[in-house]
Amino acid sequence: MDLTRLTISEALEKIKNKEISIIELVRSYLKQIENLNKTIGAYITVCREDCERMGPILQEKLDCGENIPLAGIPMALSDNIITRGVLTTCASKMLHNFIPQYDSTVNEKLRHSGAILLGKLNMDEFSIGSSNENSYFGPVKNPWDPERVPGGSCGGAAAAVAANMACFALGSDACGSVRQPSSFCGVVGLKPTYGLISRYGLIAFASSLEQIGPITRTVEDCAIVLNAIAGYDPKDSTSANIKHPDYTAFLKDNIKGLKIGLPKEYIEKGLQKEIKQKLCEALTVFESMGAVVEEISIPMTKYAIPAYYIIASAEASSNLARYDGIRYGYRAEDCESLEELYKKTRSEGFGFEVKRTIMLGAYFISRNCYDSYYKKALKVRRLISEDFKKAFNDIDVIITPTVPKTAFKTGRKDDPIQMCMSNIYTVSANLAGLCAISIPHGTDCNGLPVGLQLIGKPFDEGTLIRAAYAFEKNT
Amino acid sequence: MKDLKEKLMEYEVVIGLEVHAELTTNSKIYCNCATRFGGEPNTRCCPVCTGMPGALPVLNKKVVEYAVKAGLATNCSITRYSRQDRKNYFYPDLPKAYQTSQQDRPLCTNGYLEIEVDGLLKKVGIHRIHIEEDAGKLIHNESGNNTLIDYNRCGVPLIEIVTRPELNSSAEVKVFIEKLKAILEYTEVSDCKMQEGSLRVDINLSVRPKGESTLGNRTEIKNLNSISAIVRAIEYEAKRQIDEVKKGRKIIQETRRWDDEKGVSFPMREKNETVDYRFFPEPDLCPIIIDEAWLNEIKSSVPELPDERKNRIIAEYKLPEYDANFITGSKTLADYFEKAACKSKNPKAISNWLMGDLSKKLKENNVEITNIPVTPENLAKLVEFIDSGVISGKIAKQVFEIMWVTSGDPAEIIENKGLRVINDADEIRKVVIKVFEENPKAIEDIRKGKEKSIGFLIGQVMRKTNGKAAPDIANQLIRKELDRYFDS
Amino acid sequence: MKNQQDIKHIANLVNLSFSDSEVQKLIKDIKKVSQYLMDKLSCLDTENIEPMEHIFHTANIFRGDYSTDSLDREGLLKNAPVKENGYFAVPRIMDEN
Repeated sequence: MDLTRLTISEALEKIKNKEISIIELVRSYLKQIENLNKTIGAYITVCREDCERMGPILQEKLDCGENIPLAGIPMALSDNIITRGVLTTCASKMLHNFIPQYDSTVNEKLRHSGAILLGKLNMDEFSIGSSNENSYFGPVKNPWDPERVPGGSCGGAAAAVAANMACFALGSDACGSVRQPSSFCGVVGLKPTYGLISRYGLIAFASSLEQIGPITRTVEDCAIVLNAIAGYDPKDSTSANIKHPDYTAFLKDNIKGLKIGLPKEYIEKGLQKEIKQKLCEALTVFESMGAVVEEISIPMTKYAIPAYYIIASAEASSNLARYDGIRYGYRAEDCESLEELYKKTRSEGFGFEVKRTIMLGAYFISRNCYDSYYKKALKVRRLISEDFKKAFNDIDVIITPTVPKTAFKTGRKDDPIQMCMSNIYTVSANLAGLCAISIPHGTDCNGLPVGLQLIGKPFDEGTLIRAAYAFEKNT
Repeated sequence: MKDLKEKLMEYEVVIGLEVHAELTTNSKIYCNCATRFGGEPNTRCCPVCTGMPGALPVLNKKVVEYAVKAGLATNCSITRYSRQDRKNYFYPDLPKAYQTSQQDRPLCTNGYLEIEVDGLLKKVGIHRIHIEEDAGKLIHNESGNNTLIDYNRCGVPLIEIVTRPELNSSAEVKVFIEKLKAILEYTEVSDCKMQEGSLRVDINLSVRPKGESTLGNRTEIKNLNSISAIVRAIEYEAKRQIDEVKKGRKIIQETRRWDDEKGVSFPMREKNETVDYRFFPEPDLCPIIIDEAWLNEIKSSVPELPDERKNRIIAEYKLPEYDANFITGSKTLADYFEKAACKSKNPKAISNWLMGDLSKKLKENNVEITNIPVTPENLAKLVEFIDSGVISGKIAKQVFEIMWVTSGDPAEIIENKGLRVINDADEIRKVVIKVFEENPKAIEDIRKGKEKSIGFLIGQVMRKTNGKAAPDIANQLIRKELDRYFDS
Repeated sequence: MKNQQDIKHIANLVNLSFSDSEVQKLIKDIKKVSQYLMDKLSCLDTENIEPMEHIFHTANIFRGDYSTDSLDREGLLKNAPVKENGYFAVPRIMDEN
C-alpha cells in the first residue's frame, strides 16, 4: 500500500487502528520526496532528522491515549512561513541562511496538533510571481506535466500535495497564490477570510491582502486543517476576534436551496473553451443537487487587477525594505560605507522581479503619485467590496472558474501584467476580504487539471466547505 | 535718528518646536519588551521591535491614553477616528526601514499653552501631537571600523508635539519648554529627563524683518540636551541668520547640529536629493476610535495641572506668587511641599526651606526630591521646632544637615545631641558669671562706654553653651549682671 | 518614471542599484505597467469615494502595558552577518560627528 496516497482522515484512522505507525507514514513521504524532488523541485528544505525524531515521540504520546488531533500527519509549509530553528528563505538569496529564533502562529498551532513538518516549500521569491519560476532555488515543475508551471506564488505547496510529497501544505494567498496553483495542480486550495488565520510569522508581501491557506487533496482534509489553524491571535492586530465553528460539521452532502451566483463579467472573454464547458457542467451538477443558480453582476471586476497591482506593490516596497544585511540574511561583502552596504546587499540579494516590484511600489506611493495611483486603488478597492456586498445580499456563494486557462508552459514569466492575468478571477476575493476555495474539476484536452472557484461571504467558510464537499461527492 | 534707523532694520525671530517625549509605559509601543533606560545592549529586544521577518505589531493601549492625556492637558482637540501610518526611510537604527507614526490623522490637534514672559501673557499654538516609535541607538567608536547598533530603545513609545511657529525669543522658548515639561510630569505621561534623552527638542528657526508676514527660510537645529543649550543655540542661530541676511545672503534651508561645548552649530551632511517618506496607512494596525466613554475616562485621569495648582496653593497656603510659581514648576517638588505644608502651621517657612537649603542640597548631590532622606513630615517638624523656640534657626541648619545624612527624626536628633535651647535662667546665669570672670577686660571696656563688647560677651555665652542658650535670656542676664557689677 | 533620472531617484529611495541594461528594461516595463494602469483606472470616476484603508470595521485592537521577557541576546544576534560585543554593526558612519 502506498501510504502517501492516504488523505488526512484516512491516515488518522489507520494510525488510530494501529494499521500503520506514524514513523512508517512519515518515512513513505520522505521516500517520495527523495524520489521526486529532483524533478519537481517542490522542497527547498527537508527536515529529515526532525521527522525521524518526532515520529516516535508522537507515537508514544498517542499510544498513551493523549488526544492529538493531527498526530503524525506529515505536512509542509511554504518557505514564507516562519519556522523556529528551520531555515526559512522566502525562496530568496536575501534569506538563504536565515534560521528564525521564533515561530509563526500557524506552525505553533500545527505542532501542538501533532502534525509533522516534512520541510519547507519552494515558491516565487517573496511571493512575487504567478508561475513559481522566480525562485532563487530554481523553478518548480507541474507534476502533471513538467514542461508546465505549477502556478504561483505557492507552486511548491500545490505541486507537493499533488505529487503526494506532503499530506497537506500551507501557502499564502494575496491574489490567488494558493488557489491558482491548486487549480493548475488539481488539488483543493482555500483562501480564508482576511483575519481568520493569524499572519504572525508570515513573511509579509502584501499585508492587507494576504492570508495563509491550506492546500489539500480533498475538501474534508481542507476542513480538518482549517480547524487546526483558524482562530484569533493576540499577536496579529488584524486577526478577527471571533469564535469559529467546527468546519468538519459542514461536510454534508446536502445543498438544497443553496443560492449560487455566476457573475456575468467573469465569462465574457479570454476564457479557455474547455473551462467554460466545465463551468457549465458544474452548474448542472449544482442544480441537480437542488441549488439555485442565478446570474449576478460585479461591475468593477475589470478594475480588480489594476487596484491589486498598485496596493500589493506599494505594501511590498515597504515590507521588503527591512532586508538590509544588518540583522539577518544576506550581506554584501567588502562594503566601506553604509550606502554601499545597503545598495549592494539589496541589489545582489533580491531577484529582478522583486526589485521591479519594489521600484513600482515605491513609485505608486511617492509624493507625486500617491493620489493618482495608491489612493485611487484604495477607492477602487472600496467599490469592489461594495459590489460583492450587494451581490451577497441575494446569494450564498459565487461560482467562477479559478483561472481563465489551465497550466501554461514554462518560460513566459517576463511580462508583469500578463502574469497577473491568471489571477483575474481570484484577486477580487483578496481585495474584498472574502473567503474562496478552488476545487479540482476534471481535466482539459491536454490532460491538465481544471479548477472551480467558490467565493463566500466573510467568515462563511462553512458554506464554502459544504458546497465544495457536495460537489466533490457528486462528480 | 540713529535709533529710528535701527528700529526700521530690526528683525524678528520666529521659532517652532518639535518636542519628542518618551512615555513612561512599562512596555514598548508594539511589543512587550521593557522600556527602562539603559541596560546591556540588545537585551530588551524581540522579533517585533527589531523588525524580524513575519513579526507583527500590536499597539499598547496606554500609549493612546497617555497621548490623549497630554493632548487634553494642552487644550487640544482629540481625533475620534485616528490612524497610524508608515514613514519609509533607511537608517541602521530603524530596523523595519519604516517608522510607524501618524501622518494624516494624529491623535491630538490644535491645542495651545499659555506662557508668561516679562509679565506678558501669550498663547502658543500646538499644531499636533501624535504617537510614534523611537529608534535604536548608534554608537560611533573613535577607534574601530564599525558603527555599532543597540536596539534597546527601539520601539519605546514617543509622542511628538509640534508647535506652531509662534515663539519669538529664547526666553519664550525656555518658559514654554519648562511649562510643557511640568505638564507632562504632572500628567505622568513622561519623566522628561533631557539628559537621558526622554525629552528631546528640535528647533525650527527663521528670521524676518519686523512687520513682515511671510516666513523666512528656516533651519532645524538638533542635538539639544538641556534647556540652557536650547537658549544658547537659539541665540547663536538668530544672530547667525540676522548677520547673514544683513550681508545680503540667503538662508539655506538645512539641518544644523548644535555643539554645546564649542557654542556653535554647523550644517549636518545630507543627501542632495529631496527625501520622500512615502507615507501610507499602516496595514498591520487597526484604526483607533476614541468614543465618548473612553474620552471621559481619560479626562477623569488628568490630574490638577500646574496653573491650577499654583492658584490653589496661593489661596490655600497663603504663599506669595513667586514661591508658588517656583514650587509648582515641578510636580514632585509641589507634592513634597504639600505633604509638608499640610502638617505645618507655617507653610511659608516650608517654602523657604524648599527654595533655599533643600534646593541647594538637591543640586549639590544631583538627586531627585522623591529620593531624599529628609521626609516632608520631618521637615514640617523641624519648622515647628524653630517656630516654638525649641531650637534656634542656626541650630536648625545643623539639625537639617544631620537629617540629610541619617534621615532621622528632628526631635530625636535635638534630644540626642542636646541641641534644645536652654531657657533655664539659673543655668545660663552660671555661664554668664563664668564668662564675666574670664573676661575682665571686656567688662572694663564696657564700663568705658564700649557698648560693642556686650555682643562679645553674648557670643562667649553662646559658645560655652554650643549656641543653645536662649539669646534673649542670655542678653537679659548679661545686662543684669553688668548692672550688678558696676553698682558694686 | 519615464527616464533614467526618474529610475535613479526611486532607486535611491529604496536603496537599489541597477546596471544600464537593467535600467533600460525597467524603463520599458514600468512604462508598460503604468500605461496599463492609467488606461484602466483613469476612466473610472472615484471623486466621492472614501479610500478603503482597512477591510473590516474592527478598531481598537490593543495590548496590555506589561513587560515580558525579551529574546535572549544570543538568539537576537544569531542571524546577524556581522556582530561586535553584543551589538549589530555597520560600516562606520562618518557624517554624524
